[in-house]
Amino acid sequence: MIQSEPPLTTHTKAADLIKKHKRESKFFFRVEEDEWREIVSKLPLDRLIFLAMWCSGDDINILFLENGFRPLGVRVAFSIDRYLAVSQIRPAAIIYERMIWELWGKEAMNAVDLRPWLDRGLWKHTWPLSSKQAPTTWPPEQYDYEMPPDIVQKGGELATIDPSSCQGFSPSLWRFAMVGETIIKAESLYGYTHRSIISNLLNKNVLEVLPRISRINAVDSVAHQIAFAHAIEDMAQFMPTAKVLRKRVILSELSKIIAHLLYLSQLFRQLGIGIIASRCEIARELLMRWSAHYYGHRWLMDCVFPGTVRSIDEMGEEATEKLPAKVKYLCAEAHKLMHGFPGLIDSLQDIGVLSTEQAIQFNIGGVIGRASGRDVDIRRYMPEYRLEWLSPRTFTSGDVYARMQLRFQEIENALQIIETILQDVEEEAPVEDKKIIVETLYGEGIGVCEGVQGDLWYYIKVEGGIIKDIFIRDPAANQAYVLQGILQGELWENQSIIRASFGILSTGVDL
Amino acid sequence: MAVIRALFDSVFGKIKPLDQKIGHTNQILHLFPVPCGDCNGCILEINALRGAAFDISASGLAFVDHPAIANILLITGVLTRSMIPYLEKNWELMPEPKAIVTVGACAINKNVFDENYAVLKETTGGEDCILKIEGCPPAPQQIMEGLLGVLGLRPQSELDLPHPPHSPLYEEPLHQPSTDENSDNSTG
Repeated sequence: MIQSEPPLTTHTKAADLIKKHKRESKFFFRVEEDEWREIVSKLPLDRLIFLAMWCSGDDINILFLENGFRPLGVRVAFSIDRYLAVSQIRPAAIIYERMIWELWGKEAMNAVDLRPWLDRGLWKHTWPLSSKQAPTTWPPEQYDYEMPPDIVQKGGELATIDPSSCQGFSPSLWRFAMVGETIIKAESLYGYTHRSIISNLLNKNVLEVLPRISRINAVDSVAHQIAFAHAIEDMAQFMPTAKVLRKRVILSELSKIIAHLLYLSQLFRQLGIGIIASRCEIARELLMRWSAHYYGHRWLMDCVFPGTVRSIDEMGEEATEKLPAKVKYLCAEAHKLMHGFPGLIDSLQDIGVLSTEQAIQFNIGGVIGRASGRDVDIRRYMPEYRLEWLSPRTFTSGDVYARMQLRFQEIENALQIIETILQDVEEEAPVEDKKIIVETLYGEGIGVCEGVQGDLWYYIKVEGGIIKDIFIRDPAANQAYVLQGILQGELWENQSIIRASFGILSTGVDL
Repeated sequence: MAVIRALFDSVFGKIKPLDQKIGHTNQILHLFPVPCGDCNGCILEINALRGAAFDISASGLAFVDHPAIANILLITGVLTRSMIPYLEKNWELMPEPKAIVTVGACAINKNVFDENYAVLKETTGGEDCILKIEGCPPAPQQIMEGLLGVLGLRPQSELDLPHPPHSPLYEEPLHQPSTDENSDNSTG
């Protein structure tokens, strides 16, 4: 029997249902408990993409994406601290339901999983972001592992990777149940680097938090800065000048090249191919020094501000010839060596496969999503970018090989974009010098940026320049969740290679 | 700090480099880095020292994969409650003489972050800390310079340490990042 697909309509049933309600704010519609049940029941036949979910006070905010990029929010207040889960229909919500339970103490009914995602039992309070927080019990509750209980009796074994033995990756605890060399079950625990970024940003002035935004995730610092700036500009109805937008593209692409080179070098180190890793490492160091010289920071921190960028006049268009040519040469060398390395391509194909269906279910974007055939690139909707700059993706098998090839492709593409911008000097008409006056800011804004892991979203609510509500949707969170499933059935010797192909996830997860 | 430093110097400080010009030494510091609540900046700058851009093999520094053979525990990031058991475990496993080196502004004074339910008020290292490497994050050269100082080697500027600009792979006039460029700009 052939199942008919839901009709391709722009406004789907659940979206229509949401929009029938009272629009409470720019992005959110207020619905009642019963109405939320109805919306959830319509979601299976809907194309709304689940983006993020968090609490503010007694309300639960659920953010969807309509048509792939337009935010559509639902705000529900529940009489008791329980709400109907969406993770059964949208698996991307699993980690958010887990976070809401451990941070705000609101329980998702019918949830797929409610075990702690970030809380390792050592926090000062339970439900720390809730008004009902209480001291924790001691000793901490034992985490309930989803490991096969009889694995040892069947001749299998358990292996653990300690968060302090991460060898350069941010701390996360991995447990593997294995039979022979095959991984039967893999489970990861995060939260070791959790600094509670949200409580660090709440009730602070917009300008005061800028250094913190830069330091949430060093690898993706520019994406955080741009997404935050976009959210503030969205709130202030402010459009930066073309010159500012051009500089932001350079910064963003530069940071992506640096990150891809880092991930590629880590992958080749795991593979034991120093000759290629060394090319990536030297190219990365060269670019970081270039960044320090022209933008004042190796990691490009404190470079983007709402409405403007730092060093706007420091780096003129004459810098075209100063973009290190050696970087391009080293990247091309690494790519060539990779193709010529005996047996490498064969050994990386068909391992660590993330299917297109999984990528869609968990809303996986970035290189990992694109390598699985889910062609989501939020740069298409960012005002800074032109569509012709973005090259089409040609590797969609979802395995380690596709992710590695795509990283090389994205580096090449990013270098081209930077060169295009530096060469394409347009005489800009003098514009009126406008500024965002932070103290007058009221309302809410959503900002987005395509970071190295994918689409990074910021929701901010500001009153008189003070942040009253904020949530960061980091793409690494869902990638970390699906990685556990991908490792199942793989050989033990491949686990570090597969993990390296995903990049560094824990900083994005922990927040 | 003074007691630990004295004990440490008694083993490492008296041993002079074999060749002051090229910085060779017969004593090796075994480093075991552990990131706590960091943004990954500091730990990746430490890891950069392991890569091809910085050849530290001849400089008396070596990274190890297990604390049982380490002398120095390199700690980055703010002190999170969830990492405390692992830090303690690693510290217990390390043989004497041992010491802590904190890398980056977050580990030294929490930088821009606040104490909260997940982050401790105390800073990393305590009395066992013999060196604090400033910066947000500090560049690999700064980290190397600080660690070589523990071995009694001369600073980088005098020593002409292995440095990428001298490599034939580099053709660009590279800028040598100064302390200001890599230090925390957050207050500005």
